[in-house]
Order: sequence, then structure tokens, then C-alpha cells
Amino acid sequence: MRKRKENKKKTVKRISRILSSLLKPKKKQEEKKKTSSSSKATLKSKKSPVSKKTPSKEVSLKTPPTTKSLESSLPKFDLGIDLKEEAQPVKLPQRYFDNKIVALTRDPWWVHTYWDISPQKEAEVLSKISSQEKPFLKKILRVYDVTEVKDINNFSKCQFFDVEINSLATNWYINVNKPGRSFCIEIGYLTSQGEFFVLARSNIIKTPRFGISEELDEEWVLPEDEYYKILGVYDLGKSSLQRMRALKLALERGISSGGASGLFSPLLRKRVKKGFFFEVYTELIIYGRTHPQANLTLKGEKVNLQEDGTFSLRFHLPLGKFEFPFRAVSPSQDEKIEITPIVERTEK
Amino acid sequence: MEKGYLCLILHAHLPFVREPQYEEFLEEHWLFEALVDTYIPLLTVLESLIKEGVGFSLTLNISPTLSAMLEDDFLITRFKKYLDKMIELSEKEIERTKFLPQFNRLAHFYYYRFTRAKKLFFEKWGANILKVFKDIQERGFLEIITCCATHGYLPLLNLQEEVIKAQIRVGVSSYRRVFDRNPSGIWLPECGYFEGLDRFLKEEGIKYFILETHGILFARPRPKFGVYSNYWTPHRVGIFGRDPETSKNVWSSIEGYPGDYNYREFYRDIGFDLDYDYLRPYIAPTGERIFTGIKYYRITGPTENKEIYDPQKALDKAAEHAGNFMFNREHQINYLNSVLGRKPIIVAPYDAELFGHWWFEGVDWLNFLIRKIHFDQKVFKMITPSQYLKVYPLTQKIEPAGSSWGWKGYSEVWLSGENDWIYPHLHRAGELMVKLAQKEFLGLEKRILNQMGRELLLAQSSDWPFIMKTGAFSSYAKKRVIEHLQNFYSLYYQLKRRHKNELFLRELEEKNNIFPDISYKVFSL
Repeated sequence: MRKRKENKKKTVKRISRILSSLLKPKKKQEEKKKTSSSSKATLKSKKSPVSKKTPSKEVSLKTPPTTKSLESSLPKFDLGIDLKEEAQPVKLPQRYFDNKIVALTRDPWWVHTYWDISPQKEAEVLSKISSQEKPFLKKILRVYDVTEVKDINNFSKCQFFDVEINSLATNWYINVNKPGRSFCIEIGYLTSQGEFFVLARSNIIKTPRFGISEELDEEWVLPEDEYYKILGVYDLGKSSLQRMRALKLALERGISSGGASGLFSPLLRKRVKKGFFFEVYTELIIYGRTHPQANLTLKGEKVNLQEDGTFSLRFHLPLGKFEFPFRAVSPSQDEKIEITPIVERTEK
Repeated sequence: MEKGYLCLILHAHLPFVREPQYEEFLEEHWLFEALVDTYIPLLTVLESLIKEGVGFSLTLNISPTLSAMLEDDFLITRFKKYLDKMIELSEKEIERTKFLPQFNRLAHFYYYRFTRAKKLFFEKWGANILKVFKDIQERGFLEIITCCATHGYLPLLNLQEEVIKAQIRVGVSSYRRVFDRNPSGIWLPECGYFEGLDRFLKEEGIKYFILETHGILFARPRPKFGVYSNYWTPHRVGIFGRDPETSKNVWSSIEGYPGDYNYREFYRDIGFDLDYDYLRPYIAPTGERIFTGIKYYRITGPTENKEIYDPQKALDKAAEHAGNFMFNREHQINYLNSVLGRKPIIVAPYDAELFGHWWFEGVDWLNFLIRKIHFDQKVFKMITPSQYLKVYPLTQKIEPAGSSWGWKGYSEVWLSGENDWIYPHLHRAGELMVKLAQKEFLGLEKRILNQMGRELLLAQSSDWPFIMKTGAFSSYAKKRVIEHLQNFYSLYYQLKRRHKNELFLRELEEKNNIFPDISYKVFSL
């Protein structure tokens, strides 16, 4: 019991931080009042000291290597620290406490769900549960197959299954394993007597249909095997399970393998695994200086001079002996100097 | 008389990256590289085909974020700087490789490539390639289609109808502004479809869209012609399914053309091979080595010992592969025509950036292919989806199945442990936006709402979760989602204040300047 209380306290602190960071202008007292009166959560927490914990890993910002000044461009924003400028960006809320559970379809067999239940809502629902039951409570997700449901307020005739969840989790992947069906998810507490107390109910989602439809509305053109061949399935199993596996495999093998975001999907992703290696190259830098207006050539080709008359040339130097006949002619054309460095690269 | 059709679709898209607060920004190179590698060579090919009287019908999607960047003066100026730098580097390379004749030849090759890109883009096309694409469309060779506003992956945004509609509407209006007509079709981001989406598309005037193969094959009732015909959805939008055979030819790293040993090796780049000090001015501003685009080796084989690239040999190979592709289509179409009792359509969509960027010779391949189809055979013709819709206006009505062209065919790429944290934020922001859009705002408040709409749309790009999933650049992707949502809430906070900070608003309007004409009302029904 005590533990829960502590947790609750912490959560309240968190709400205060989030809501205030979302809504509260740090400077002005008058605005502060406005916010707190518009939100129940801040009322209580006004007095509580503010924890300066950084947000959870997922939303925390690591400075990308390519954008080194990102940190300075982001808000130095936490409760207790005044904003330097009122227009500094508001920090993204870590939680919303809007008592929602949302379901998303990942594929024909899996759904994803996330939720965000306020401590008040938790307390309200828990208060309906007898204190003897409380030590045995399980937090669960109840997944209803609502495909045949007419009245969305009455799930009593639906098939469902429960998934027990960790009380700290905020999202879950559920294997519903049923393509082409509609689902709705409730989150809540299950007592040892099997009584279910709902915290929130999700939107209704539908998993995609999987497999080639048996519903035919016209005279048939393609033989059935041909359909599977389009998907790259040549060895069609006999049972429907085998068929499904073959189809699934075909999709995984990736008829879609290339897809998505042209510049970011390395096509030739399979690179050779590097064994031990060692490579040595040599380069030669030749540099020098002359009169800035002089005419400098190397093997008859003009060499560009910097404004101060210096130059620098850089060559890849393979094995062999190389001569570099330089010739500098003075601006007045009456003087010339020739220098020819000779460089030899050998290996043993 | 032809026995069937090939419908080539190129999907050109990049996320909106514009970071004027930095002197140089690595991720802006995505656009510059795609321009040099893909868009400029592609346009060059299309112009040469027209000039030489080669008939063709190509479908091209230019996503609204890409077209916004192509219109942006600031990014265009940066592109020029980028090209100048690359020209400078290739000049240095010409000098450096003086004693390596084969490499020296390639260094000249790159020098020519960069200088020509600059000349074409800035002199010939007046730094406005959208206009050139538009002209080609108006001359009837090209069908340009649109995409969702910021390439939002719709199946995972489908909590409010209004959010889905906004993605579609802004995609349509942005197209109309650039191309002066209504788009006939839409490229659904990642081919992401969920049951019922066709109604929203219909309401925005979309005539057709493309689905991944199993989106059509798993439709109900069973589609009579496989993926080789158009169909109608329940709300009577035209649909087409992707042909897996043609996609495998090009996409597969094992069986596909791009893996040929004569083609250029993407991963051996001087950016990782040469001396650090020499490269320093041309790599990331933070000093990381990056791909410069100058690459001297060919794939060679499953070995680390790469051999030098020979552009002529690679070009010959591209011609051979184009011939092979055409030959296979002739057979496929002959066969399908005999069993289907109608002229089949082979729908072959690809990411445009595959050609030229990943598959260096891809644009040449395309060039050869189009010419060969025109001159060397009579079995099939090229066609666009709207032309095919006119060939078979009477066709079966089916309800397509939810699907995408991502890995495993559904939403897992964009919804997994690496990126699922974004959805609670995106959905709440969407909810708030939809609520606000029902009210009327004027003046400054209206501008705040419009900018909130831009920030929300930018946060919804499917590129961010995709990049988070694939690893490279993931911190930038995270930064972008968070930043846009923070901007969104900061604006909301301004909205509620009596004294609004106009400067703050203006800064955001100037920085994230996509969709200049957007009205926040697109988020209402």
C-alpha cells in the first residue's frame, strides 16, 4: 500500500511538470493562476517540489553528431528554471494523462496499443474495488473481437482474451493472430474473482485480410496456382496452413524488399564482411613559392599560385621514379628558374 | 497492335530538410546528391528522348516536400555552393591522380559530371527543374502525380479522419500550385493502404492510386486479372497493383541488375579512402567522413579487393540489362494476354533515387530501355495509369486489403520498438489540431494556426520513423519529430496568450516555409 502511495505522489509531480511545461509561462504570475485554475492536476501539485529528472529515454534528445549546436537551440526548460525568452519552445510532454488507450494495426496478426491513464482515473477505478481484493489485482488488456458487433456499447457477447501487463508499461504489442477481424481493447484491473474494472477503451481497428479471397463474383480467368505464382509461391502446400506459411514467407522474402524512402534504403545492403586488412598508399606534396605574378609551370602545364605566390601540389605516388620539371618565369619575362625534384617510390 | 502495356512509375521523394541556422548542414546533401545523381540525369534523358523523337509514356511522382525544396531559393543557393565544392574536389582529384591514368580518366569523368550538372541546372533550366518537368507533362510524355503532403504513412495516422484528409488535401493543393492542374493520381506514401481510405481519396478528386501486390491479390472478391489490370474500389477510385517480377529485376540485391559486377560500387568512396586533411573541406562540417559521390571502383564481386570502374563497360552492361528487361516483358505480356483475355498492364514502380544514386547506371538503363521499347519490338507499349483507365473503364469492383510496400508488407517498419514512441505524440497533436480547426481565427491567430498545421504535417513524415528504424541518421530523425512537435505546442501556447510573440511566429514561418498557401481549415471536415 505504502509503495503505491509513493508512486502516486511521484506521478502527481510528473503531471505538474508536464502540464506546466505545456501550458505555463514561467515568468508571469497572472498566467500561472490561469493555468492552475484550468487544470485540476496543477492545483494539487503547486506546492510539491519539482523533480529535475530528465525525460524518459525515448523522448530525450541526444545531440546528433551532425548538429552540434542543437542543444543550445533547444529549450533550457524545466520547472523552476525561468524561461529566458517567452518564445522558447515548449518541451514535448512526456505524458498526457488523458485517459486514453489507442490501438494500431501492425500487420494481419499483431496490433500495437499504447495508453496514458491519469492517477486520478486510476484512483477513481481503484476506489470501486474492495480493499481485500487489492493485493491480488492484475492489470490487464482485454482484447475483444468485435467483428460481428452491431452495438459498440455492448461487448458482452464478444469473444475476448486477456493479456496481463506490467504496471509500468505504457504500450504493448499483442498477437491477435486473426487477419481480417476487428478488435477493441480495454485496459483495466482484473480481480481474483474475475471481475473487470475498466480504465479506458480503445478505438476499433481492423487487421488486414490475408490470403487470396474465396469470394468469387465473376467467371474465373486465372487458375488458382497462377495467383500464388504472382507472389512468388511455386510450391503450394496442400493445407490452408501450409498455404498461409508459404504466402507469409513470400512477403517476408520481400517482393517488397526495395520499398521505402529512396535515398535511405541501401539497396546493396549486403556488404562483404571485412576480414583483417591493411592498405598503404603514398601521396606526394610538392610546395614552394615564387613571385605572386610569376608564371609557374610543371611539365609545361600552368600551376596556379595563391595570392601570396605560394603553391602546393598533391599527387598520388605509385611505385616508380618521377620527375617534376618546374619552371618559373618572372613577371617581366626576363628571368627564369628551373628546378626538377626527382622522387622515387620503391617497396621491399 | 500491341498486346499489353508497361507502366513505369518513378516515385521521387525526399523529406523536407532546410536548416538555415547552420552554415552548412549535412542532411541537406540528400537533396543535392539526389539532384546530381538522379533528377538532373533523368531530366537530361527525357529531354534527349523528346529531341530525338522517341515516344514514351512515363509516370512520375514528385512529392510535395521535394517540390517545396526544389522551389526554395535558399536551398538552390546552397546547391550551387555544394556543386562548386565538388567541382573543386574533382579538380584536385585530376591533379592528384596524375600518375594513375585510369583513375585520372575517372577524375575527369566526375569533373565533367559536376560541371555539367551545374551548367544544365543553373544555365539551361534556370534553376527551376519543376518547370521543365511541367513542360514535359504538358507535351504529353509524362504524367506527374502527387503524394501526401509530407509523405505521412496513413495507416498509422488513421485516428482522425481530418488528419488523413489534410495529408491528402495538402498533397493535392501543392500539386495544383506547381503544375497548374489537378493531379490524376496519387502515390500513397509507402503504398500504405487501409480499408476505407479510398473514400477519402475519392472525396479529394483522386482518380487512381497504386497498391503493393498483395493489396490487390488479397482483395475481396478475388481480383479477376491478378495484378495485371485496373480495378475499381468500392468508392470507385481506380487501383493498380505492383508487378513483383519487374520489381525483383531491379530491386533485388541478388537477382537484380544493380548487383552486376561491372556496375559502380557504391560503398567505395574517396570520402572514406583518402587522407583526412586532404578531404577535410569536403566532408561533414563536424568532421565525419562522408560519401562524396566520387567513387573509382566497380562492384567486382564478393570481395574487398575492388577493381577499377570502367564507365564504358558499365554502360554496355546497362544496355544489355535493358534488353533483357524488355525481352522478359515481351514474354510476360504475350503470356498474360493469352490467359487474361485483355491487354495486361505491368505496373513497375520504383523509388526514383534508386536510379543514379544507388544504382549508378540506372538512369542509363532507363534511357536504353525506353529507346529499345520504342524501336525494337511491337509486343507492348508504355502507358500511364490514366491512359489505361480509358482502355478498360469497365472492370471488376474489389475491396483492396490493407498493405504497404515496406518490409514484410505491412506497418512493421514504421511501428516497432525503435519508433513507436512517436505515435502518442503525433496522435495527440493531431487531435488538438483538428479541434482547433473547427473554430474561426483571424489575423495573427490564423497565421499561428496555419504554422501549427505545417509543423504537424512535417512531424508526420514517414521518413522519420523509417530512418529511426534503419539506424543511420536516426538522431536527426528524432530531433526532427521532437522539434516540429515542440514548435507546434509553442505556437499553441502563443495562441493562448494575450500578447503574442510575432517574431517567434515569423521565424518559424521563414524556417519551415513549406506550403505557403496552407489554411489550417484543411484539418476540418
